[in-house]
Amino acid sequence: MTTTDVPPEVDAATPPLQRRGLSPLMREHLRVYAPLALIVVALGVVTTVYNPAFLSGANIGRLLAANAVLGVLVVGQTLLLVGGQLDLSVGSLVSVGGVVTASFVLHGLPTVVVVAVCLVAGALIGLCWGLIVAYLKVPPFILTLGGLAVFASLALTLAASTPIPMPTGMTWVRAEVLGVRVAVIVWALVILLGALLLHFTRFGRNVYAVGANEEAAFLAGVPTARIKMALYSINGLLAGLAGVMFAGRVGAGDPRGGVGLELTVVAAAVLGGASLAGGRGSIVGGVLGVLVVAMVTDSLSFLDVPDTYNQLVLGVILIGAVAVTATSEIRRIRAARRTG
Amino acid sequence: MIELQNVSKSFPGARALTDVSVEFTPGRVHALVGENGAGKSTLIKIASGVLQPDSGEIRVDGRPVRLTPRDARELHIRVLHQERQVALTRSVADNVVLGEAPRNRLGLSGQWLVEREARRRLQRVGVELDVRAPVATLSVAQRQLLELARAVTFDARCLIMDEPTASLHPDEIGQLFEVVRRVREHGVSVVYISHHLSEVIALADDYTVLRDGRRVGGGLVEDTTTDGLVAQMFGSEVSLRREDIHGGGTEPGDVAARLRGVHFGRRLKGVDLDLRFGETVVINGPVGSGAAELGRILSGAARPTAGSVELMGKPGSTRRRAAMRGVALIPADRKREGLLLDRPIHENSELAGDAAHPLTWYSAVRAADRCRRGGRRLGLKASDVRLAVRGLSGGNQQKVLIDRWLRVDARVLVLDEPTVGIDIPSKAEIYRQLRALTRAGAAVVVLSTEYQEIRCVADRVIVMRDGVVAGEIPGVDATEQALFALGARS
Repeated sequence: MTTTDVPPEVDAATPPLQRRGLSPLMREHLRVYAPLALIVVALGVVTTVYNPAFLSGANIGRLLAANAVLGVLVVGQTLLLVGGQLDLSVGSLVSVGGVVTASFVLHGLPTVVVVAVCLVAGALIGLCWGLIVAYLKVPPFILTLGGLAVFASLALTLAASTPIPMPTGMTWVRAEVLGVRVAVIVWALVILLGALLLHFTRFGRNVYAVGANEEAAFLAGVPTARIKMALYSINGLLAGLAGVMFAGRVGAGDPRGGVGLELTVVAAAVLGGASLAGGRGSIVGGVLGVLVVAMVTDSLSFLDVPDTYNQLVLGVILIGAVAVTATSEIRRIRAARRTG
Repeated sequence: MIELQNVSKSFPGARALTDVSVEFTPGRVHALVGENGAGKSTLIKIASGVLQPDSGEIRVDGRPVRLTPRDARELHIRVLHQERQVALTRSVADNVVLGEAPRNRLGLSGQWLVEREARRRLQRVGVELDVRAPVATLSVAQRQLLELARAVTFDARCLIMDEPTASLHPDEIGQLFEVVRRVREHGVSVVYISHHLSEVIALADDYTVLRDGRRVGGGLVEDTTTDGLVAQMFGSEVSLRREDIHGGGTEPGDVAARLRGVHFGRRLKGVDLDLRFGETVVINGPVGSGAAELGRILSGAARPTAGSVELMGKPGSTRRRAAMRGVALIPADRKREGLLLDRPIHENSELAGDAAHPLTWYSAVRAADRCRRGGRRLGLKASDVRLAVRGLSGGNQQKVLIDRWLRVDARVLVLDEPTVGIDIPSKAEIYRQLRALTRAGAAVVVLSTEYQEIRCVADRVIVMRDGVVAGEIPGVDATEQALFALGARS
């Protein structure tokens, strides 16, 4: 049987199933992006007026490089959030990754091996989370909160509570290719691959489906368990990568380096339109979220605002962004009811 | 007595009601019928004071009134909405007296007073519930009865019920009817809105048919039939009669699914079933009979505790493998188990395809194009396939779900109550689609308790009772009496 066996029932009165112009989903995305882009630009302009050094090429490069670790993690977290998942253990994984990197470098292992070990170990830890979430049905929040504690402790134990310096290791992270730091290039590649995966493969559609309605996805034949395992593995791999990049940037394995990072990661992803309820969000949004976080932190210091205010400003922006999303959501559902 | 006289109402760009007159008499059940958009909801909004008519007047006991929601409440006009409005974490008693807790002489309210009042009210409508149980532990039907008790004990003069049976099972509907009848005996005028014309025939005394905002028929229910109502609602274009829809079939072909000695806990006790390509099999049976479980086992969504399942000659396994082999499942609860409500229509109709081939490229533009083609074939009515599927009517949502499986050339379709809460023209279209699929060689299983639906689509009907097959009837002979006799025999 092919689909053409069904007699066509084209009704002249049937609407065209198409309106001109941008897709409604794209419009919704733009509603999220526009205010973020506005914040980034406005902060840039204001800070530059106050201190012209802010918008110089060198500073922009420094800003991006300083946030590459965060940026890489946000790509993984956005994938998870879209699929209705969450991983809070990334902060500790970055610490462990950094410590492991530094101690391996000090033992004289070649860079390639160190990087490979970190990536594979990260992916395996992610796979464990995925298995536990998919088959034991443990809520991701609790599970990865536990993971956060376990790996934080592990990092401290491995490093005997003090940073392990490795002045000559992993220098490639700080190196420049054509005037761009390698860390930034790596981040860009991760963004590109993440966006391809989420927005241009049918795997990505399955991720959205699992996040939007897991039961419906399962009954439609989506391999929900495998999707979850894949998401956690990808995120774990990226956390491993972020650990290496972090160690390379500071030139040491700091067992406390990733403390609190997981919250910034989630905040940036949610700023970018991802929802903790799943089924919503995009890679571009996540990147914009990181840029907002980066700009706020950096321009406040350029504006000589004490850095004790950083968290306050970020918190207010986050609450504002979520409130705006929530109200537009309510309006959208009401509109759908009217037309339906 | 509440009368609406020559009421008209327009919205920007649309005329919702034109010159409609209707009266609701105490002690009678008045059914409002009409397809979606015929003006039923506008009418009840006017009758309950939510909307003001552009012209015409409302009389209560002969006096013209101008209704606001507040006035309507004071006149004891109550509306029972489709969406449940109960406080889940509170007890039954608290919910029954919600917003008007009884007070003693000192103006204080106590748990004991509340429970006594709640018991009194429940008794009045003949509903038996434990007043101390939290509402969260009640079934949907029990919650509905609770709401009914609440509405009635506001000493309602007029009780408007909007699709009260939309989420109820047949035996629960019977219970609801009992309560409505009792309410009617208290001299309340009940306005009953339903898509299920058989319910209208069974329950109502008077009826009014609306079409395109006009009153096109009405009178005493005893003078009409379901077919008569359908004819009045749609003119001669839509029919739900077997002769107009079934259109015969081909000789059944190979075996699509074979069940042998299937057990599922205590729900199924040894079921044998052969499903062939080129036939539509209806599995009929109330909740608890095992019909729903059989559907889930056929589609791989549940695994039998004993017995064997073969799909197209191979042992059945997981839902995913079954889906990959072209076994479609369209669940009864579209919103919870079928749709991604906030995702675009085209993503919803592509989901089975996306699930089958996750490692291929995706293009939103091409997906939307495919969805437009599929949508036109099924007569999908949507202004843009890129809008969230939430905004579609039930009938159109169901078409999206059917399209989802036609897109992957599903050859075995399992549909659980496929037309619950769907308007009649969409029902007729869906039935015709199912017949066309059957003629094209698909094996179709419909789990249904709706007699009219069974008549329209069935080649044969399997009646389930208490987890076993109670009997089988050819579709042509499946009269309501025959089905009932088979299912009720013990």
